Amino acid sequence: MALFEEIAGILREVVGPCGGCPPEITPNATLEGDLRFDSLDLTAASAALARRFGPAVDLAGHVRGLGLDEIIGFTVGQVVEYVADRSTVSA
Amino acid sequence: MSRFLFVVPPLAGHVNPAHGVGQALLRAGHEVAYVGPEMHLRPLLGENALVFPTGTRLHRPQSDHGLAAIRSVWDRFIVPFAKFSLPAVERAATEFRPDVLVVDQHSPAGAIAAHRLGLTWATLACSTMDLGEPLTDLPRVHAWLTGRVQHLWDKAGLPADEYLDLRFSPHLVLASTTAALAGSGFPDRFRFVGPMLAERPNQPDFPWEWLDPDRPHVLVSVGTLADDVSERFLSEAVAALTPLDVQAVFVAENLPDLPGHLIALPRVPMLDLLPRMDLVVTHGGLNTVCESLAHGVPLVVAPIRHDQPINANQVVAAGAGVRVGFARADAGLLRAAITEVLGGPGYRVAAARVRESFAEAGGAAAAAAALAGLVTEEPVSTGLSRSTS
Repeated sequence: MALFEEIAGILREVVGPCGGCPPEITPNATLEGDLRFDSLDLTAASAALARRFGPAVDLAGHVRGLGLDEIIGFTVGQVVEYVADRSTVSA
Repeated sequence: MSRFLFVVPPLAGHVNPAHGVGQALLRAGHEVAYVGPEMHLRPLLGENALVFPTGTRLHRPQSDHGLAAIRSVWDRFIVPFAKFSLPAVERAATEFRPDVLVVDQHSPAGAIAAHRLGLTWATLACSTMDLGEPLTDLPRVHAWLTGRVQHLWDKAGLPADEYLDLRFSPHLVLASTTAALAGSGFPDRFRFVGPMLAERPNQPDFPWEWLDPDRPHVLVSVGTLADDVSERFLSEAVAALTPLDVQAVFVAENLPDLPGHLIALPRVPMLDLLPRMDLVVTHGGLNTVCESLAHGVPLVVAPIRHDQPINANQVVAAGAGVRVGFARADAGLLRAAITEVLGGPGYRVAAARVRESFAEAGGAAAAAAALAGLVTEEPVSTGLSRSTS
């Protein structure tokens, strides 16, 4: 769960303080729907993850290659799985 | 003199540009008619417009954001509306016998009817969603979108070997933007004429005497389609503007307890008001963006969905404003953005540059001339013309 916590922290940075309503970052939260990610957020999160976990982690590139429904439903848990799979840096 | 039939969806941001071009064509002595849901079109077109009604079917109002919004606008609006309205569009075209069908990109029934009847047709692009193919960055999403268009072609029973993308006329694509915003590198048949404005019927009153000429003026408008998500944003904008020495006009119903220098109205006479404004805070619909820039007014853009993030980025790239996150912007962040754009003369200068590009592009009159040119250019159609080059 350490990896989840660390990635949740990075995503929380990207999401930033919301007008009194910080979205809860859970494994099932979707980036687009629950965290209101737009393309700029995705790029920012992707860059932050690459800095921490190595250049093989290209979240934006990975998501851009998915289908419509997969992108809409892409969750924090899937970010963690993707990072665990691609990371070249120990968590 | 020629006849032009506009095929339009029931959305103000699409009817207004069609009306602008229609008025310019009428002034040039042509005949103009519209086909679409009359209930939505009539108030925007005025009582004298010739409207062929398609009837109205309840479509799910716009909602969601990001790709979910793109999915819902195609699956729940564009595709069903095209299927539903096709018979009425074909009847209108048969009855009115236009020389050119002018087809909004989000009313592809017009393109199907034109192809079936062998009519010359032009595309009217009122959104940047389908200009420059922004989704090619997402190859599988792009394939899904073109699949939706192909689905409409197939369902209409048109021959597979004649397939052409219903979003883009092979003859002429008119877009309500310019290279100053949208960039260049488009095919020759794309004509960027800038916003296509005309005097609008049924404009509401405005308390002009309320405006204090010595204070900067801010207009806050999140469009006609964002009721589901605009409440939080508007209340943050009220909190952002309350301590500032400005006057602000909110296009909104029922904002309670506004201080005296803020006012909320459900409708405003947009084109008369813009010359008095110093800043527009908007969701970034192409009409609001272009109407503001046509008056040299810079922007704070908080995009919600569809082409709005694209428009926001184009405004930022042109130097004519800043972008903030719609879902997350709070009062402090909005106040900083508003103060930044009001205080930095560069934004106004950049907005004036875009305004000049619009003036050069010619707007509704240039669109009307390009449409009239299609009639003289094209051979008189005899039966089924299948030119798809």
